[in-house]
Amino acid sequence: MSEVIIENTIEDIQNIELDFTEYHGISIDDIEIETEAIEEELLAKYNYKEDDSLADIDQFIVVNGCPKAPESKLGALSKVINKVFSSVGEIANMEVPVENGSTKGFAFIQYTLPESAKKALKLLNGKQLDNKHKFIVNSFKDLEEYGSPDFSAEFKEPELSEPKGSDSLNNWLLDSRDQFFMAKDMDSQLVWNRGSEVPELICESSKWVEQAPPRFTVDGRFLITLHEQGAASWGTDSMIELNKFPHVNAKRFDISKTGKFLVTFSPEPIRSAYASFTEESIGHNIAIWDIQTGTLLKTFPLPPISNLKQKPPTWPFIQWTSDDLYCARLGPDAIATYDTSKGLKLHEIIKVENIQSFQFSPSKCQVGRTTDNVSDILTYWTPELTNQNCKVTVMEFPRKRVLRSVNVIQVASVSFYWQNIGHYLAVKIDRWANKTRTKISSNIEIINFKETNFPVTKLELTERVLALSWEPKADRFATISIDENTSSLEDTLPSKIVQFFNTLLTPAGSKSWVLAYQTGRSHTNRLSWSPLGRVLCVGTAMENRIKNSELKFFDMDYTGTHNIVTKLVSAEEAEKLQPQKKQKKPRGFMDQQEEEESLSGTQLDRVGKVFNKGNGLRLRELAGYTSLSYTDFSWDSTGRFFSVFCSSAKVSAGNGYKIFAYNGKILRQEDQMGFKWLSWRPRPQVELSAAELKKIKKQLGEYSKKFKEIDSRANDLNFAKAKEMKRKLFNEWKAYREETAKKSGDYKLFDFDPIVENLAEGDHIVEEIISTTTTVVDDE
Amino acid sequence: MRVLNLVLHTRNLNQVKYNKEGDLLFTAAAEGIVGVWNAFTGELLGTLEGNEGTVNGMAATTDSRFMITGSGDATLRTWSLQTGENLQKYELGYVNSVAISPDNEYVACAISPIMGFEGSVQIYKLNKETGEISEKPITTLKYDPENKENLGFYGKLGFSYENKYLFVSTNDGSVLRFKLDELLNGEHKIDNYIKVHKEVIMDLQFSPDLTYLITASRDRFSKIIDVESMDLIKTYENMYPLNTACITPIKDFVLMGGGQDAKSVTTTDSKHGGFEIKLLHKIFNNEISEFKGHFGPVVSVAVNPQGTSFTSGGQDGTVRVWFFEPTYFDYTVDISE
Repeated sequence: MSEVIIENTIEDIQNIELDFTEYHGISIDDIEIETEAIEEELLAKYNYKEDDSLADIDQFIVVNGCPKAPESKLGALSKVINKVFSSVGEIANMEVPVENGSTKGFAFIQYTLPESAKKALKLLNGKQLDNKHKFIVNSFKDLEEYGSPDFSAEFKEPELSEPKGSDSLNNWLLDSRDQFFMAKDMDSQLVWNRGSEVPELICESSKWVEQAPPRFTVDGRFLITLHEQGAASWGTDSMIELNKFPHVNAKRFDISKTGKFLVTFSPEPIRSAYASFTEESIGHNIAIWDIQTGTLLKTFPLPPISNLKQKPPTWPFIQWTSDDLYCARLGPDAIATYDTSKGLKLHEIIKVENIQSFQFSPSKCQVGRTTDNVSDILTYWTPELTNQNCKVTVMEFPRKRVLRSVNVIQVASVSFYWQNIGHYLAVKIDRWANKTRTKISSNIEIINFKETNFPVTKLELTERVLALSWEPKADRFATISIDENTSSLEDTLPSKIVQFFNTLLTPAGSKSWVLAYQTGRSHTNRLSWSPLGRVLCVGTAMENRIKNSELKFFDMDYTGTHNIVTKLVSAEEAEKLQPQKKQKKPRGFMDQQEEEESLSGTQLDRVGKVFNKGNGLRLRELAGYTSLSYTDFSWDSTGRFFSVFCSSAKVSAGNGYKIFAYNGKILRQEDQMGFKWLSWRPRPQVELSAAELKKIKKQLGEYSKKFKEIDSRANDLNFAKAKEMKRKLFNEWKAYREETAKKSGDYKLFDFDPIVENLAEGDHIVEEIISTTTTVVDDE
Repeated sequence: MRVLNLVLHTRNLNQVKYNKEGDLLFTAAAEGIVGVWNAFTGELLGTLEGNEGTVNGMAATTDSRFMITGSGDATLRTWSLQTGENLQKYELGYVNSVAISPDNEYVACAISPIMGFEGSVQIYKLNKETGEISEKPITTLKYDPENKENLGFYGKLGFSYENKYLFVSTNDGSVLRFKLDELLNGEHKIDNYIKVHKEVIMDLQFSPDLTYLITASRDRFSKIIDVESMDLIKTYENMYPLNTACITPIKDFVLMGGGQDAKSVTTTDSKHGGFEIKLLHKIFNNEISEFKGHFGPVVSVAVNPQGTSFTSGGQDGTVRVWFFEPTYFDYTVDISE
């Protein structure tokens, strides 16, 4: 009898008692019930079958292919079989049937554990005993099944099971809202962003944040998480686990450019063959997986460092072309490239002596006259040696035609910064500014792939550029720089400047880049362009010694007349000229400048510097925050929202997140102790044609009308819900106070709040929410 | 918002308190001085000087004539508030907190088991006319580490309405309730208790009518407990450890203050220490406003019984009196059908 059944009987007996109306008033103990009959009835009801054989049929195996030996040698044969088959687990019983004085050539073995039987099936099936004899191991269950007369030997085409959630992988895109992932302590959630409202929960898990923060693939279809046992992918509407990528102790992972492949890296080399790793993988640290199928494609060891001039390899160790057709890794004096369409077969080894680093373009670039003549671009550089200049090479890949090479001297290091659609490449060259090699200033060489022959524009700066960021799909960029003449990176808090570069058309008709504006000194360490361009976030995140975060939103295409540039220029001019008396204006009219100043509410950054009247840049500060405390920030993939968060992994206090609108207005902020991570779910690239896009843009008004309706309906509902919640809380409190009043008897309670009075009189209460009162008092 | 900055204390504050009418304000600080202030103008009316150690707790009689202070110099003292004269001085032990019963008949003090003294709660008879307390305690409730029900040693205490109960908080986060008449008869049975916090309870204050109380703990939570049923009524969460919380009269709000420990503050900016005083709606549990000004943890917050202002004392040695703006009094919430 199983326990479940017993429980049911007791329950049912109690139910039966209720049915026995004629026994009403008599306690259950006094009633004699034929429990056996009820049991039988229940057994029939629950279709319960007694099964004496128990479930240990899995313990048995049948071994075919044993030698047929005379009965006299039965003992020796049993010994041999026992020896072989006890290697996988303890044998409980063994039977070698004998017929007509000879063994029948097979044996029955019962293991103490079903797992041992499984092992035997896996490991000993097909094992050679000697030249003539080979064991064929079958589970008893199979034999029973195949041996039964019901078993049809006819081939039936197996029914294909539906692939796990393949069509629901993209369902989330049907919603116009964005999703983001957030983690607090061990718990993580995937939620719908609802701007200022509480995000709507989609699903949550305590498994997603273990070894590293999870990441979405580029198209947003899969969430990749990292665990002690390896990586895992999650997807579909309810975020179920789709595939596992077992790589013990993996500490890092990277996703290829189109999101097809996953690279996992463990600092500990693979020691033995396990899961999908074979003997070949022993000693390797890097594994490449197919995300969709979960199959292991290839493993790599860390490249050897043969030559001392070469820097140790930096993460990510594997780089991908824009279409994921090829991947490459850096080796000593060479780049090894692999073809993903041929199962990551070695494609070619490109020998480059002393190669320092290389990079693929983020998308295909036009390399010929016609627009369909496109190719991936590979860039790399080699350092300066005694009789050799530093050389930056830009070549087509996989055709290996060198498009450009730049020779420079006095070079400390080179970095590549691609514009996101591959129109421009900025090569930042850090050069020694003095003979003692203590100071660095940067050159930026911009290669323009939009024009024929790929013209190079050279910008020689006096500052050292630390970071550079291109405006998406546009030609402007901003940099974070440090002037090594006045400040050094070794300083406790090196002061940096942010420079904005704009383009100009030269008289010859080609593009050139010029410095347009530079901010005053700050500790800025982050730059982030809106994915739509135009808006740039300049921020100071908390790290190392920086305890004060700042954030500024810049609009690069402000259409009003009074932007930062004109303000600064006019301020400069005003200083030169005599201060003019303000003209009286007719009442009710506001000067346009005043109006704009009152709108923007930001003060003029007088420490900023404008070059050549701004070189056509119409910059305006949209919003600025000085005490936010955050450690990371990011845009959502549509450029509608911006988020900052303060991670408990980096800072112990002030954890939480904030969501901004694209114009820098705070929509939502939530402080949560232990808040760890926030990342937006990216959207796949739009696959609509230009005409279709145009059509949608035309009908934007109608769409927005529809969405506004949905929004307002949702808002009404939320508002009603919140109100309902408040009413419930209030009624609870009221009930509590009434109870207290009852209990305390003559003692007079005093509840002053007008809410209580108003409600008692049945009045409606006018809603009024006061603004946050913030008073900062100077301490003198 | 009008803010008064009261300058007197040189070291960290321990407690701020109003008298029953709300016209006098008392401040007790670590250098051993108690300040007596005009609660509306911030004028210093006088000081009670004589304590040789930090003044941990104080309580004034409802007629504002006398005051009892408990100090780290191991003394319990009685004072005349009219003259500032020290009337009595008893050496009892490290006094953690002091309370006077609502009818001014009894004085209770909690003594911490440190500096070689036994931990206990002692109750004295108070003479309403002379302001003097009985020489011997009526009863001494000893802290017994062997007793399983004695959940950590005694911290803050307070009397409920009509002298019914004495509430004592313990440093393991429990609130104990004793029936006062039983205690006076020498019966030391815990009437009821509730463990509400994971860490030490730093403050225990009552609602204006003494029918429910609010706690503040270093575990970042503040909780409202009903006096009669000992039920947990409300829970308020803060981002930082709390030192103090109080319930406002007139409006349904609670005020909470605290901040990061002094030792971890050095590693953060004062902006990130959580030194703001928070105003929350008592019933709806939403943050209404915050008051910035202290540059160290807030140790004690007391609201004027008239409901028009409140006072905060900080570890930075500053005392601030904050007067509510008209918007505060106009605040209502729409909960109509």
